[in-house]
Amino acid sequence: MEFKYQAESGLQLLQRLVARPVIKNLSPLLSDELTSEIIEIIGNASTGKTLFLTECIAKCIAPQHHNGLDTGVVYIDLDGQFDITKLVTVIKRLIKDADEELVKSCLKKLTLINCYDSPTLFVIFQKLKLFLAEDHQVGLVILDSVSANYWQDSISGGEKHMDTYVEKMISLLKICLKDFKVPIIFTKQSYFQSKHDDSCLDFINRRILLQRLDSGYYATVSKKNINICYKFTIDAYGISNICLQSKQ
Amino acid sequence: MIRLKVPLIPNENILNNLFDKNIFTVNDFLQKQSSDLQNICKLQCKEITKLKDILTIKCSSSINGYELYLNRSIPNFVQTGIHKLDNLLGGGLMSSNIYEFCGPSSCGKTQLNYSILLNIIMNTKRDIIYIDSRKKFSVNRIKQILKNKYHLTNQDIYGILKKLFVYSVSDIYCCITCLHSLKNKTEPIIFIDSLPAIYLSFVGFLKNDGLCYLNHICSVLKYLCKRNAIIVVTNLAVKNCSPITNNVNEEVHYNQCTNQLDFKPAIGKYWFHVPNTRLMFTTILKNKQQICIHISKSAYLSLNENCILQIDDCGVS
Repeated sequence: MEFKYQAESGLQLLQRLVARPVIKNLSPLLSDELTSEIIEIIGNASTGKTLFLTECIAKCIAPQHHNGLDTGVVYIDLDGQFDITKLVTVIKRLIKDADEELVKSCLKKLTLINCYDSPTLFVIFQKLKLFLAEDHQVGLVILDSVSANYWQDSISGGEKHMDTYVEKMISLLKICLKDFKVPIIFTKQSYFQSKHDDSCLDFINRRILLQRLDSGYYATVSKKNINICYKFTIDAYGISNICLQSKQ
Repeated sequence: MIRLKVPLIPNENILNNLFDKNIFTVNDFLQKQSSDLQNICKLQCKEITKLKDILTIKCSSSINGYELYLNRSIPNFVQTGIHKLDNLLGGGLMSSNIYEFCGPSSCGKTQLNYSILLNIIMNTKRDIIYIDSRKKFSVNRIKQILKNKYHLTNQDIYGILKKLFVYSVSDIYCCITCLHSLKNKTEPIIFIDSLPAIYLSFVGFLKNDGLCYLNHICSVLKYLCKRNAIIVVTNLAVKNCSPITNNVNEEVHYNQCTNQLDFKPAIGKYWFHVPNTRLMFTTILKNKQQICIHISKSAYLSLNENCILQIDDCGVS
C-alpha cells in the first residue's frame, strides 16, 4: 500500500476549514456552481459587458431571503466604466421594497479597486491574498478589463502575443487566489485576441460572448465545446428577458 | 507605478542598496525572494516579511461599495450654451465623462470647441484648460466671437481670456506631461484639440509605440474622470475605404442624413472604447456653414439622434 504525503500550508488549512460562500445560480447564463472557475466575457464596446458584471454583483451582494447569494465581491476596475448608481438601480429592481438600510448592507459587501497601471495591479493581486484570508465572505473576484493596459505593457518589455498576455495576467491572479477556490470573471474586448488560431485558451472554463445585432443583444455561453445561445434586452433598469435561443 | 521611497522603506541606506540592485518599484520589491532581500537590505527575514505586507497594504487602495455610494458625485451637467446641442446631450456635458468630437477636416470641430468654452466661461466663470496640439489656437477668432456675440469691451475680453489656459503641446510626450500636471486640479474642464495630430506621426511603423502612448493618455484621462473632470477630445474622421462596415444601419442613416460618403475616425479600434460619448460631425454639402451632429456611441444617451448647428461670426449656435 502506498501512502501519499501532502504538505499543507497554514493558509491552505485555514481555507479548507473555513466555509466560503458558494456561487451558484449567479445569472441565467451561469446557473450551476462556479467553484474556482475562470470565466471570460468577450464583447465589443457597448454590448453590455460591464452591465452584465453589475448584474452579477447585485445578485451576489443581495441577501439570501431576497433571492441573492449574500456573498462579498471584489471588483478590480481597470477601465473606469463601473457606475455605482447603476448598481443601486439594479439592486432596487431585484429587491422590490429596498430601503436605504438594506442597500447599505448590500453595498458594504462590495470592495472596489481602481487601478491605472499594471505594476500597481500586480501589487493589488498580492493584496487580494491577504484580503481574502481576512474576509471569509468574499466569493467572487472580477477583473474589468484585462486588456486595459496591454499597449503600455507590450512596449515596456511585456508580453506581445495577446493570448499569452491574457494567460499571464490571469494566471498571476490565479496563483494569488488558488487557495481560496473563488471564481474569477474577467472581460476583454472582442478584437483582443491573437490572429491565426481560434483563440482557445484552455485555462478558461467558460466563455461568454456578447454581441449586439440588429435584432437585439445575444450572449453565447461556451463550456467544453457546448454552445448555448441566449437573447436578452437592455433597458434603464439593467438586463432583462434572458431567454434561450435555438442556434441559427 | 509606485516608486520606492523613504517613508515606505525604513531609511535612505536600505533604499540606496535596493536601487543599486535595480529594485525601484514596490512591485519589483514584492517579486524578489525574501532571502535575497535579506542580504540586500541587511534586515532579518521577519522584518522583510513584515515590510512586504506593509507595502502590499499601503500601495493598493480599495474602496468599500457603500463608501463609494455615499461619496458619489451627483451627475453634474455643464451647459454648452448651445440649445440644440444641450438638448441632444440630455442637458449638457456631464462630469466624469469623456466626449469625443469626430468629424472630417474643417467641419467645425474647433469652432464648436471655441463656442462651448466661451459659453462655459461666460455662464459659470469656470477655468478652462485647452490643450492645443496643432499650434492653431486663434485668439483673434475668440475675440471676434466675444465682440460679435456679447459686444464686450477689450477690458472684459481680458477678463475672459484670463480664465482660459492654453497649453501648446508639440508631441505626444508633452501632452502626457501636460495631462499629468493637471492631476491635482479639482473638477477641470479639459479640451484636447486634436488627438490624431500627435498620434498619427507613429502610424506606419512596425512597433505600436503610438498605441502605447495613447494607452498612457487614456489611463491619465480615466484618472482625471474619476476626479470629476469633463474632457472633450477632438478626433479627425477620414474617408472609409473599406466597403464593409460593422453596422449597416448606421451607414444608411448617414447617407440619408448628409448624402455623403461615410467617414471613419482616424484613431480606430483601440480608442473606440475609451470615450463615453462620441459625436460624429458631418458638413452639409449645400451649405458649408452648417454642421450635422450625430450621436454614434454613448453610455447614457439614445443613439442615432442628430441636430444641425450654424457657424457664423458669432461662433456656433
